[in-house]
Amino acid sequence: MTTAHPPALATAAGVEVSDLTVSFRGGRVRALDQVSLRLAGGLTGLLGPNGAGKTTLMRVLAGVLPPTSGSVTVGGADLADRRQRQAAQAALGYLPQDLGVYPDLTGRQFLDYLGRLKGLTSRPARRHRVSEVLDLVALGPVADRKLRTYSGGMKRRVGIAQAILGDPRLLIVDEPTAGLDPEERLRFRGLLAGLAGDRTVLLSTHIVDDIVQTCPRVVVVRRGTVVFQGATADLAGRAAGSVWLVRRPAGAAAPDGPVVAVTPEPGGTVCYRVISAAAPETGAEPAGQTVDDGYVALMHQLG
Amino acid sequence: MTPAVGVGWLPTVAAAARFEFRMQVRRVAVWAVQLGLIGLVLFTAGPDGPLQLRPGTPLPAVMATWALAVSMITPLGTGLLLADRGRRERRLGVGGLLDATPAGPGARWWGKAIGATAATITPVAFGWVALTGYLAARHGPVILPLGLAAFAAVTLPGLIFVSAFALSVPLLTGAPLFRVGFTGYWFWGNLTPPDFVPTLAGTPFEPVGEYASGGWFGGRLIQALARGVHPGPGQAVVSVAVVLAAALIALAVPRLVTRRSPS
Repeated sequence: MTTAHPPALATAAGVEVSDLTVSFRGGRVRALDQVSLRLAGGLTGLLGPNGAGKTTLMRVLAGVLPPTSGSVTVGGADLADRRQRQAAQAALGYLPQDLGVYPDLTGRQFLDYLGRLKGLTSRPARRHRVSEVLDLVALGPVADRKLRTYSGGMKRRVGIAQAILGDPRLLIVDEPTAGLDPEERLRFRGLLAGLAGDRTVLLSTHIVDDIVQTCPRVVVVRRGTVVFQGATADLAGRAAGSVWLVRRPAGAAAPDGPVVAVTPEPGGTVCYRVISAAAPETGAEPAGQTVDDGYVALMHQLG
Repeated sequence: MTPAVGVGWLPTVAAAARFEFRMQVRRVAVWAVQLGLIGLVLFTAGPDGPLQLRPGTPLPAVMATWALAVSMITPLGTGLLLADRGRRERRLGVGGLLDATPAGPGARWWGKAIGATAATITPVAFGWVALTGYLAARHGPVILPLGLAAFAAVTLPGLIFVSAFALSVPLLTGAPLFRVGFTGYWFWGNLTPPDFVPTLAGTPFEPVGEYASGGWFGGRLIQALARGVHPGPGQAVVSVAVVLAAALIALAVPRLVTRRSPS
């Protein structure tokens, strides 16, 4: 499908964030603090602990939440300006973390309504596109059932369908695979990777494997600030030379330092994957670093 | 075919109104409550009409008095049924999704007001059409235009007034508190005799339609009569204008105070 977009958003919508601060409760809670980042086309992962500010950042980029200070441009459109924000939103797909639906509408009607609000004014084209995205998320057979009868995973897929409905140039997806079964998760991962070709996609997730498999770049947020942005492989590099395997008898205390993984082994031993600048104990075996290791190492380095 | 991107104010209002209408009109409660209240009006009416109409009353006054009787009770159902609509997006968690579309929140709000109000009034209109048909069979087809005029002038402004407040006030109070307060207001402000307690009943500020009924159609007066007021056509215009202006303000104020602003 081709969609007419504002000239600035005819290709992947680059995102520029400068000194973005978002405060709540009269400034007492600072959810984002002087965040600056740049997103080009393709897939970028967004990682961070709970409460780090990921959802706030995504809400600002979606034009849902106004910044307290700083500037955000999407495809050259300044989100502080109402008209430019609406132009950016016309080319935006957004899947919020807590997705709600109208329970008394069918899946098809819900998407039709959102398509109308997204500016898909031609009824035949909108209906065609709605059927297309419903099939894409494998909801075609249940499209005319009320949303109140959908399972959590099906509602999530409706959310994914509405996010890609308007053929967005910028796709912001917050925990998109939460509630999906493994097969659906893999399908969605493939879908995102396919969409990212000529779009900018920002994917927030707690599942590091989703980022490893799909995102060449990653941004890590912690306590409202960006603590890493760069290639995903470079995040793994943060743990270079610091990953150790420590084996202990089952039931023994865990070794000191951040433990990335615990694997039971035959013979009654347990293998701990530990981040440590130096060997944590005699007999510790060095191991190659993964993105999980890099993320944990980064968080540990920051204290 | 290529969908065009661009969401104007009016298309957004129309889209929101259409879907809000569809969602509200499907509620069984909307039909059960509104038709039940109309049934109550019919049940309590005498052989010559409601509110102790006398034999030989001119037809315009007959229709206006029927409209007044419907207007005294169906706004109560309208207010109670609409009270949960204003905050519905927040409750369902759809707000963020809608705010991320280029469709402005103001246009969506007005669309919601139009669609949800129209849907809630629809059963009342159906009941009124049935009643008008019955009266036309009894009195002749001249009843039909009178029925339309009486509904538009006497019943509709009050329904719009109540709908506007039922959509906007619960944004501040929540639906349960609004329902309690509104029920109290309705009985106090419209149905309580002014010689019993100080009340808006019988003044141009009452949305029940008594001034339009009496001033334009010569219909039955109740609370105005208790005040010794016999409203003329000019006072009816003022009363309807006040009621509709209040409705407009009630809908506009939430949009003004909840405009997008920095946190």
